[in-house]
Amino acid sequence: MTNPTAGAVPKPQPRVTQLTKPFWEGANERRLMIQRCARPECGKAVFYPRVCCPFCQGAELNWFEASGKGQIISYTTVRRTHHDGFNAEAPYVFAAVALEEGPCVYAQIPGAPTDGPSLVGKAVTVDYVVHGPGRSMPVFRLTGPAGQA
Amino acid sequence: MGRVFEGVRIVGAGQTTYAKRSSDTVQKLLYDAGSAALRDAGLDWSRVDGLALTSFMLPPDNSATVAEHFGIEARFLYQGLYGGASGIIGMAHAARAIRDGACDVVIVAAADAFDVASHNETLDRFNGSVREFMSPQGFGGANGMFALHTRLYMERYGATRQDFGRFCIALRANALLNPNALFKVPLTMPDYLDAKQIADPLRLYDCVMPCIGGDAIVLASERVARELSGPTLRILASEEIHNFPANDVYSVPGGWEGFADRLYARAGCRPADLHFAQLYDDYPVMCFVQLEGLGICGKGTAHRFVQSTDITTRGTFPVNTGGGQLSAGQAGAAGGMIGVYEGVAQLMGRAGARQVKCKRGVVSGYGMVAYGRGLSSSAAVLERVD
Repeated sequence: MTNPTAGAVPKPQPRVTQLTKPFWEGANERRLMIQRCARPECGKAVFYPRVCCPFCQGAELNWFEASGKGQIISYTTVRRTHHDGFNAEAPYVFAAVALEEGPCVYAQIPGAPTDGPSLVGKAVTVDYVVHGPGRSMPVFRLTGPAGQA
Repeated sequence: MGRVFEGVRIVGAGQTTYAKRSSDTVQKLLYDAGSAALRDAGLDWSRVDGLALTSFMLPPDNSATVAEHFGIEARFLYQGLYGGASGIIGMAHAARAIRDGACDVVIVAAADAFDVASHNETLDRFNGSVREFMSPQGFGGANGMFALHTRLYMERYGATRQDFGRFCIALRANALLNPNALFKVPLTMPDYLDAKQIADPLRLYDCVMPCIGGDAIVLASERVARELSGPTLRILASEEIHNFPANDVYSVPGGWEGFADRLYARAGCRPADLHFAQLYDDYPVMCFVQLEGLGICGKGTAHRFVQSTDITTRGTFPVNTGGGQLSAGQAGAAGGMIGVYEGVAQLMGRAGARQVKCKRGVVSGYGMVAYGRGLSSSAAVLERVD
């Protein structure tokens, strides 16, 4: 017997806070917003959103729009999900992406092959998918022909 | 240099049976594990004046309410917040409290009553960065997080699925000699390699089985230990490190190399002087990282180490002699105490059919998975007093 509500389980949604609001509002505008340390002698890019710079503990961080380009540090094909909200799309590729600016962002890589040669080191570009009501989620796609497949 | 934990002894260890299902509460599991450890020591609860407890499912209760529940007037309390690193950290805190004269007898215990659903639920909202920037993105839980580390390790060092398989098969062989272990049948290489896919390259037997259980040890002042007839152990050294290296999730996948030199310098021994390792085995890759970080083998060589070394209880360097979390089960935060229990039982000569010849060994912990890695690493070198 099929369960009519299977697949209707909502995905876990982020709790948007004063701290993380620029990131999530940016995603809704298809902009990948991250922070940068305001101290000129540091100036490092920072993600996830912080209240202080994790490199120099400086108090001031400024939001800016990242290039959206990066490369895959490592990845997995998720076959057994941790949350039923993702069951419908499994198997899918989930990766740690090193942004050009430095920080690591975790995201799905829609359209990436779930089997086959390693994707470690592959170039990726940000894109956005609908994650829930009024909520866009940054994802990455393989840059170049494979990503357009 | 004087001993770091002068005047402190480990005098007993206890473990509940690990079960898939049980109606036992966390308080009951902590009580049962603690009672077993006290029986082992030849002490009773009336002597206990300190608790060092770790349990994900204990809130809204805490160490103080457990003291109330058990009727203990406590002069020292600790509650572990660092997941699987907390057992060893709690042991070290308790040892300092005893050394400094704050208390005499401390139960160091961890227990949980987890199934797969409650495990996932806990991890989903484990901390802010996981809850906002890994879980909504579909990280696949701890399996997904450690699949990334496993793939990176394999690509960096040329380790294969067979290498991880050898490790898991050896732990299963050890578990078969542990009456408390959840898994009761041998694991074969085909079983391992062809198991259900979870999060590539991880399959079912790379992942721990959430279950119900608890582990405890008893620490006592030398003054109390002198009253006892059984063997006692010294903590030669114990170290912890968190968020090492800062801002760098993937170049060094674990904190042990951040303190290994200090650990052995304080312990006054070398890795070659150890007779076993009880590692935090949430995933086989993390055991490879611990073997290397703790100096038991060279960096990037753990897969060759397990090819050439028998790590079963019959082997030349036994690892996770009770089967570890991978084959005894992961009872939540008890994962951070199962190795401590096992190490103590071995050194006291009370490990039954799985007893190995040993006087000195290392126990290791790891926990608090956050943005891409476990933040907290701990380890201790324990030695029997002859």
